[in-house]
Amino acid sequence: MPPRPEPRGMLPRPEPRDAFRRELRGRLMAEVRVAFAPRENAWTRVLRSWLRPAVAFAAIAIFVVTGSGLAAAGSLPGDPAFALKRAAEDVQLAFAPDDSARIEALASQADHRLAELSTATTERPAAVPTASAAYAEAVAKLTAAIEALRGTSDPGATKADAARLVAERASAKHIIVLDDLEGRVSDEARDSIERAKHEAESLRPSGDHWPTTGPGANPTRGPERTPARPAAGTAEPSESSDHDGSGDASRTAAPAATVRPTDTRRPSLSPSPSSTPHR
Amino acid sequence: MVRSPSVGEKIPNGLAGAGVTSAERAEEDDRALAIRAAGGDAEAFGALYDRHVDAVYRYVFYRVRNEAEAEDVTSDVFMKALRAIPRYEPRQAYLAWLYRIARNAVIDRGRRLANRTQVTFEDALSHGAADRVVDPNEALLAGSDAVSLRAAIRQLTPLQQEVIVLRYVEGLDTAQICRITGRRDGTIRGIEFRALGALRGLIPSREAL
Repeated sequence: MPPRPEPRGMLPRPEPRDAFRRELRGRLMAEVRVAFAPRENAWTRVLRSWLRPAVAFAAIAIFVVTGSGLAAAGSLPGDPAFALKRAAEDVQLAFAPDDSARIEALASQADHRLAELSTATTERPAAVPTASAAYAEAVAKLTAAIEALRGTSDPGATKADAARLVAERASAKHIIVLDDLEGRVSDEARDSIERAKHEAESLRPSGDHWPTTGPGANPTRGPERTPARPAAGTAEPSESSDHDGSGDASRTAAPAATVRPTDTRRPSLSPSPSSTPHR
Repeated sequence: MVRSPSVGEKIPNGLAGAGVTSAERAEEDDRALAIRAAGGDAEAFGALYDRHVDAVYRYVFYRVRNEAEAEDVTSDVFMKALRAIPRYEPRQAYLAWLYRIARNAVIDRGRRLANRTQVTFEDALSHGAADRVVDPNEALLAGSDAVSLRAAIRQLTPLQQEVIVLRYVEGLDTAQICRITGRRDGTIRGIEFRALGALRGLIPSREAL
């Protein structure tokens, strides 16, 4: 095909203003910094699209769990968050590796209930009956567990002796604390403290309800009183409280200091029974 | 400012291989610059702008109403090109790629202004530089012709406008227009033929083309 001839007439060739050329060039060069910025690849984009919601969800979950945990830790019997606290204790109890650990967990749980009772007497007197009932339940669980241990085959009776020691110490500590509380509460609350004190005394080997023979020796503390749901143990009290030195000399374990009513987060009792009490 | 050489100009043998036209050499230069720009080289993009801003402006000028619109659309074209350059495919001639962006920009603009297509008196007087290349003795006539031609061109179909501007303003040959528009040779010739016929009817007083 022969080459096509050039058009006979050319249209005018307008040119842009120089100012327009310069201005547009400047704008383009300014825009280059943004347009040529490193771009994320498809994988990064996908990762980021998933990561953001995941991080947000994790943050919310942490906030909820932490907030619930804090609320539960400071709750008293009767509070809505108290059920969460008990659930956590159940989990801890379920992970107790053996009978001794289970007894100690239950003792710790009783310590917590006592601390809650102490808090209730000073901060929320209306909750004292409920807290007292919760304490009584915890002591009953501990007693039932000790009784059950006495019924197992234990040739050297070492576990039973250990359980006895735990009960002895717990009773000593609790009676001191309850004595202190009894002198500070109103008349209405005093009855509840009295009942709690009775429960604490029942823990003592020398107490009226302490079984001296095998299982079933004391019908009121027999296995049938063991709650269907195993009691949960919370972490051991991590610190010793101040000792007031008013413990009965006949009590072998050093009595713990009086619970400070303002300490609502953890029981201000003596260290766990396994630790050496100090005076 | 480096400008594209005129169409069909042969490059001396010392500068390029035998038979390589200046247009082909310019196309290769554009491609190399575009590849650098796609890799984030701002200066390469600046060089491409310098080489083609006038051509884009002219392409747009005859298809919009006035100088201000031509500048707006030209700006839009280069901004879009800047954002799209990382995705530029070297298989395609850069100028064809740029004209495609310009074509879309003009079409988008036309859609937005679809209800205001009538040429106004202000439009007709808006561009004093349109007759810059004509003989001063013919300035008055040429100026009038430019305005009339521009108004007439704007009454053509978009594809006819594009072919007329590329052919009679930019001076591209049919093969180049085919690459830019993506149409076959016969199609382009037919479009050009019908566009010229329409223009003769629209400008009966002068054999413009």
